[in-house]
Amino acid sequence: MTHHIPHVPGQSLMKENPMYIEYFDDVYNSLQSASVVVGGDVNKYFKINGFTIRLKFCGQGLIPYIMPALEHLACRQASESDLTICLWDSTTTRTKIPAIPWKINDQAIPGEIWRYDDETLMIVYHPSNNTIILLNKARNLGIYWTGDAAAIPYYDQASPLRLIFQRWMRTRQCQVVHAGAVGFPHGGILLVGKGGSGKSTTTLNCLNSELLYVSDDFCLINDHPHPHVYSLYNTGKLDAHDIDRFPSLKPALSDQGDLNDEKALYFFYRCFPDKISAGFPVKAIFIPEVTGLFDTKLKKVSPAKGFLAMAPTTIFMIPKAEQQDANRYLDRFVRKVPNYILELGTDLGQIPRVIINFLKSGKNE
Amino acid sequence: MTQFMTYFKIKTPNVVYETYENEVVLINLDNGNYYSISGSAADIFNLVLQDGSKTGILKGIISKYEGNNMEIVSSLEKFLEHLLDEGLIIRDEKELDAIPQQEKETIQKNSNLEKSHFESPVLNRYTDMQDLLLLDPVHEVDESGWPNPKPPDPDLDVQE
Repeated sequence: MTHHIPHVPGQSLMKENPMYIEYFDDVYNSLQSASVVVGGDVNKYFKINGFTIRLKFCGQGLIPYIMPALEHLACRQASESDLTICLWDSTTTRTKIPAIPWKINDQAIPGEIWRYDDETLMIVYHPSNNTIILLNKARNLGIYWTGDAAAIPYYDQASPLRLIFQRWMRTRQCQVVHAGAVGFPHGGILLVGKGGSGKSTTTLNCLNSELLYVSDDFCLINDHPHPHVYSLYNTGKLDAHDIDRFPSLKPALSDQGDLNDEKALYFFYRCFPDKISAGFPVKAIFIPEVTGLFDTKLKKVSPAKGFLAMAPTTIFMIPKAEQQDANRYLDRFVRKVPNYILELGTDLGQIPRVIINFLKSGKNE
Repeated sequence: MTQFMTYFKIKTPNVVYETYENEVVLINLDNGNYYSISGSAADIFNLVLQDGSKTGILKGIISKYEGNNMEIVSSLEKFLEHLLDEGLIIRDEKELDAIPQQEKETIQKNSNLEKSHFESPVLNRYTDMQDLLLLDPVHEVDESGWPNPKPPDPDLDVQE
């Protein structure tokens, strides 16, 4: 049975609802019990955009599925963190999560998401993944729960905790965007566009050059005081039939097995730690387009093209109530840097050279 | 008897837009479709924003572009219908004596400009996000919460 859930687009966030605060507290109490079962917590610390993030794992169960994508951002143990995320699974902790206080469809559609977001709490439920994500914005406390860690899909292992980062970073005037990023410590480019536009081909090609890698798919941007991009994940994804186009990257392939229905997942930090950057100033936005021609070229375009390539894929990842705000944020960002079409040629070696020449030529200053 | 005039306005907040010189990008938050328009299409959109009356939009376009007026009227009507069909604008009726001063100013401002040749407005539509939203549907919940409390689901690994 399907229920129609009304929503109010474009309005400010709802007032907090005590029922959901209570649910958050119940889940938090359960994860405390789970921690006791597995003999305590394992804490990991990360730095993203200067913020210290603490991941508090209940035992070891989730670590192999969450950590590889984030390990390039690891930092020393900190006495205080800006955001704490508690992670647990029911299989290894033998502790169940309190029942969600609502009814959903009897038959979950793969990929379906149920999301509640008020001024204090965000709760996201993925029925098909058996995953619940909670964020208490007032307490800077997130909770990630899944039934069975081994069932976490490859795409969530590629960008773990993205919804929590995305939501919490918005409260810090930053925006998670769907974009790749490569460059040098003094500056780099954002690569934006929909799937299949050549974004991953460009990013992965650059790993064979002197360019540093920040992102293939999702990264964090901040437009104040100057445009900057921050790395979230050291991962990349490719269609299985493209693996042989990048033989030097094969050591970074994950051991996910069957690639008939899945993209190949790479963890680059394992094999290329010196190639991964935590971030750099953004000098331009590049919009890759496959041309079928031999040479790779740049063509300057209006900010509208950058906005068109970046905004829709980002805006539809976030709650309705925040879409207009994100729209304005991205509009501001694309106006602050030049925008170019990166006309991708078939001679793949030219792609990083064109980017390097651009960044070293000073045209971007 | 009161006479009414047809007006159009952007379907906010369901539709968001950004304007860049002579180019506008629109996003329909309801269905995931997004659009880019330029040239006469962007001018029509901006006239909807500024004034919104069908007459005012037509006068604004005729003052900026040269061409067969019948063809301009026909193209304009088709384009407005297209925007309506896509859920980007809504139609409204206002009393005739409530025509804003701004409309007259717009026409006067454009009348001194060198006219460009009118080309039919084009709405470039992108539907790839709609496909994505259908694959990964998101159900937003309002403040009343979810419609029916439910006992624990046997398929969900929950505490009893």
